[in-house]
Amino acid sequence: MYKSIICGILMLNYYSLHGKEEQKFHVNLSKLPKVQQELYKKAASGIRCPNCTGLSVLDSETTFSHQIKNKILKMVEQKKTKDEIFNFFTERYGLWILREPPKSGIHLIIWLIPFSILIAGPLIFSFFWWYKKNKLTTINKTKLTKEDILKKIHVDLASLKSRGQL
Amino acid sequence: MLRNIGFFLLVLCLICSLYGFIAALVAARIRQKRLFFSARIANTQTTLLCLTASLILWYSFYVKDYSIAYVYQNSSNDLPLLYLLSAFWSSLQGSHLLWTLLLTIFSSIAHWTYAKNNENIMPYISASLQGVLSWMFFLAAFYSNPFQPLFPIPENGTGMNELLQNPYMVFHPPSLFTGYTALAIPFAYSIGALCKGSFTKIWVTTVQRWTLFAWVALTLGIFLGGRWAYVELGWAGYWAWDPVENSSLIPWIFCTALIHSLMVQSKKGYLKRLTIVLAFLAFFFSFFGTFITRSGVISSVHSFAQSTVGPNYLFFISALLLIFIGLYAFKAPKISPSKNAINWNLSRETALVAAQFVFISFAAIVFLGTIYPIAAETITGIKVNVQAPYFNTFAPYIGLLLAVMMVMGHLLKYGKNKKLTVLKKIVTICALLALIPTLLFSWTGNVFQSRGFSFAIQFFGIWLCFWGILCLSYQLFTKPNRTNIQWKNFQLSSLGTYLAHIGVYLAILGFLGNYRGLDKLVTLEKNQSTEFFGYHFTFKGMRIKKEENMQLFLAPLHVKKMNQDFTTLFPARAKYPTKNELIHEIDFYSSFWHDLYVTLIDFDMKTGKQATLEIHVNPTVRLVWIGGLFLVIGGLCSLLTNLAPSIKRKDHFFLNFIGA
Repeated sequence: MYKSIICGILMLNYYSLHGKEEQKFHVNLSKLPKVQQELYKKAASGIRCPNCTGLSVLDSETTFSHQIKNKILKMVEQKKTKDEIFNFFTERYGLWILREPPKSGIHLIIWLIPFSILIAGPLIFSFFWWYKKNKLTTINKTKLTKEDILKKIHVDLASLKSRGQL
Repeated sequence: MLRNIGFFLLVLCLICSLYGFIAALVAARIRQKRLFFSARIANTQTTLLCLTASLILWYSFYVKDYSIAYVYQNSSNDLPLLYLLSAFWSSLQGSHLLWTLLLTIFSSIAHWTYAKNNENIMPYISASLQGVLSWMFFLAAFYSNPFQPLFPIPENGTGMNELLQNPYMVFHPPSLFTGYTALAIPFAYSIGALCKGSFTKIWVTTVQRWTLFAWVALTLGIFLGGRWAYVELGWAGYWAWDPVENSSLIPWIFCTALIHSLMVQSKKGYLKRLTIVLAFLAFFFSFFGTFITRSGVISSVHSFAQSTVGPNYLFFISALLLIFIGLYAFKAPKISPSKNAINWNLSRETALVAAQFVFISFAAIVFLGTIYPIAAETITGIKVNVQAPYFNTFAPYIGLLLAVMMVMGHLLKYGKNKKLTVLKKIVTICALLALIPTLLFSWTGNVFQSRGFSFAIQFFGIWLCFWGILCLSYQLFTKPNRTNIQWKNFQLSSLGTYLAHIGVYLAILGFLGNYRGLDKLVTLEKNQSTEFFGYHFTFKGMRIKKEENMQLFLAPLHVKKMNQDFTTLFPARAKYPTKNELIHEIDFYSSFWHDLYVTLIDFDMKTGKQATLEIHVNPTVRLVWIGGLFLVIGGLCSLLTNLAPSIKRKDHFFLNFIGA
């Protein structure tokens, strides 16, 4: 038992001395057909690197990311779909492992709001604009003749007189 | 000893600005001019004291005084001189002091260079500026004190963060902070206008001046930050939709919206209340961004260590928001609508109002994406991420809308546009003509091989950009606008607008062509070669080089193109004595059409005969930087146009200087 502990400590020291630079686990995609290469890239860019900020596993070089990438590669070779890959990781790490929230449940709101702003916004704006334009033009279109204006003045004067304000 | 003086000066600044705040408030209430002048002196005093405290901190860095904890944490004995000086803003306390220093300088300038017409709102402006300053000095003195002592005094510092030891990092924070602090003046002027209940005659010109200045600084800061990320971080990208990057983008968006809103207000007199709200939002979000990064609420690459300023900041921004909402609710109805009837026909004003919609929705989407992880975790307890893919879903549509809006804004005129047939002709001709540069661009630039965008979207986007450039060029060269500066045949103000909008089109072209580009990961032995994108790379074996405060492990790479010697690249990893990790020092070759960008991922430490390299080809990334340059130059032209009349008349600058 002590031998294994010492072995473990030595290995730990060896790796910590060289740090992340000892990574020789670079993912080799050349054996896969083109479609599966694309699927791998799409899946790997949707999973976040757990110990970096803002990077996907595809872009990061940490040990953890390499382990995840190897797992994704195995799943792609087993002909799993992107959703199945994401579900696999979500079951183990939670929604946090994905780079963007899923389009379901309460998280739908973060997808709906921008879409509605961008779609409904211009629609509402155009409707508002059309309404203002047409409403104003109908008012401007009612051209009052001289007689109409004089009649209106007489009516207003009469109402003011009757109210005792004149 | 100097350390104690520095701290004492910060406390003095707090007292001075508190007095100025109260004096200005009272002066506003009882309408006493002399009391306002006293508040102005207090503000000047604060500036001078803050400047002295900052000089003390700079001097402490220069002489490597490790009795100050901040100097110990951010420098070391072998740090080059340039980075000794930029270490001032390399961490939390110092960057807060830099922000406060810049705010004192600009508030003093605002106090001494106001127009005679604005004098009756100056007390409100003084009160708002000095109120913000007193809070900032309170934080600087008691929560994030850069003059914190350290005992026993160590021999050597822990060194500056290696990623910050880059010339771009010397200019990026000051430029960005200049923008943030200059936005405080439009905010103060809006508070003044709200309190007074109306606008003064020269209000719009003054606020335009400050907003343009802040905009230029912010644009410069954002592009410098992107350039730093590109050359330093090693992932061949320049914008990651990181929370801190977003929180610098949101004030920029509101600043841009404010510029356009002020244009409508100066020409036609409406959108008054929108201007006030936008000025407040731009200023508010500059603090909001700082809050979410400094308090550790969101983690990002820019995060500072967890500090105690979080609750303090939250209190401040809540107070700001509440005070503004209260003021606005009570005072905004007093602001009378414009004398001109709102024109709802197809015209430049309508295009500008529609552009405001696009800007504000862009800011809303970015804000939502940044704040959602915190909100979701607070409400549901589930941790989620909102990273680059979310923002990249919506940003193209915003870009598309903006590209169309810019053409509409330029080709339409103010007021009634009767003959729309000319406009329709121009639009169609330019649309057809734009196909030529699009095809040329896509052929020579090889831009369609990027990952992330489909061929159709890229082609349409590039075509749209060239259409926009052609329409704008037509408008500039054929229809000069009235203005007060003439330089040969160009009117400087329309040149400024033209350049800034061309800059946007160029930047969009840059984004379209290069969306992370193409890359290849390859492991090479000494003298082994590989081919990529028509280039022939030969690895020549590792080399070691000793620099001032680091050791560089270089991987020389001879690059040949069509059997001709093209260039030699030296991607490297740097070893600083203060850290165990090796930092990326990427190397790249920039030509107009694409960048050859190489990262050294891994190498054989013992023999140096094997290296793993990642070779990126980034098409059109140069256009992004050129676009940024055009934006800044355009903004400066507009600023110069705004300043020109008063430089000629000399009435904005020295009239009140003696305190008449």
